Amino acid sequence: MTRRVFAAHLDELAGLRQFVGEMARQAGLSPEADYRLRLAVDEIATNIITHGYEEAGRSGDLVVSAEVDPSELRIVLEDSGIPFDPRSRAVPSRDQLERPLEERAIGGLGLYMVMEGVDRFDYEYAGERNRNILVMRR
Amino acid sequence: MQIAEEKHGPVAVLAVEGRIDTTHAGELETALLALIDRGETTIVLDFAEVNYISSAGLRVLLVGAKKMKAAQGSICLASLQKTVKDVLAVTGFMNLFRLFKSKESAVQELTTAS
Repeated sequence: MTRRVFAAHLDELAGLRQFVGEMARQAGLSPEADYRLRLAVDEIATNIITHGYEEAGRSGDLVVSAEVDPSELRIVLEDSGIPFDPRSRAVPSRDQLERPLEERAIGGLGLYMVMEGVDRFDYEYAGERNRNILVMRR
Repeated sequence: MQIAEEKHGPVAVLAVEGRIDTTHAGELETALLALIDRGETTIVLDFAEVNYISSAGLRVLLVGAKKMKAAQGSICLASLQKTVKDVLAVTGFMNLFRLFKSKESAVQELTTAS
């Protein structure tokens, strides 16, 4: 397992994406799967930093670990921001995404792309820490 | 991120270079809304050099498109890279914008049309 600690600031996202990209290459993901994973990590990490820490007046870090086994690449993002289970937020339905411009809602697209983009998403809250788990099949 | 503005007859073009993510989406929003406020009604976003767009970027596109619709104008997208195209497809954005293969073909067609 490879582990990195990032400060919970938006300017750390570049390093985080680079780390995830390296892990995706090690795991031999296709360019499309690599992109979807980096996008998903970016969206989750952005939510953690802005909503979990900054807007809540908290500071802390984002611990990212990556594990490659024969069948999958597993990325875990761990933080001590306010508890938030991304699965609890309603994502737009297919029908909502096909509506005309006037009826399109502006929010919810980030988590939608996370859930669509990864092969499995899990969330746990334990020991006052959020754990967002993103899994891609190899 | 770099944004260059061009004007070709009635068509205003923003050529964007870089990532449209949380850190940079604000720059695109400022440039786009400035064009709309100035009264431009045909805007082409040239994404030839954009290889990444997150939900922050989609938000800017949607805000811009809604504003343009209200002003009876339109935003077109040109030269989408595959990764960006995939994001727009999965979120149902392909139907919200007129797409062109290149900036040149967009300018040519939109100039002839108006």
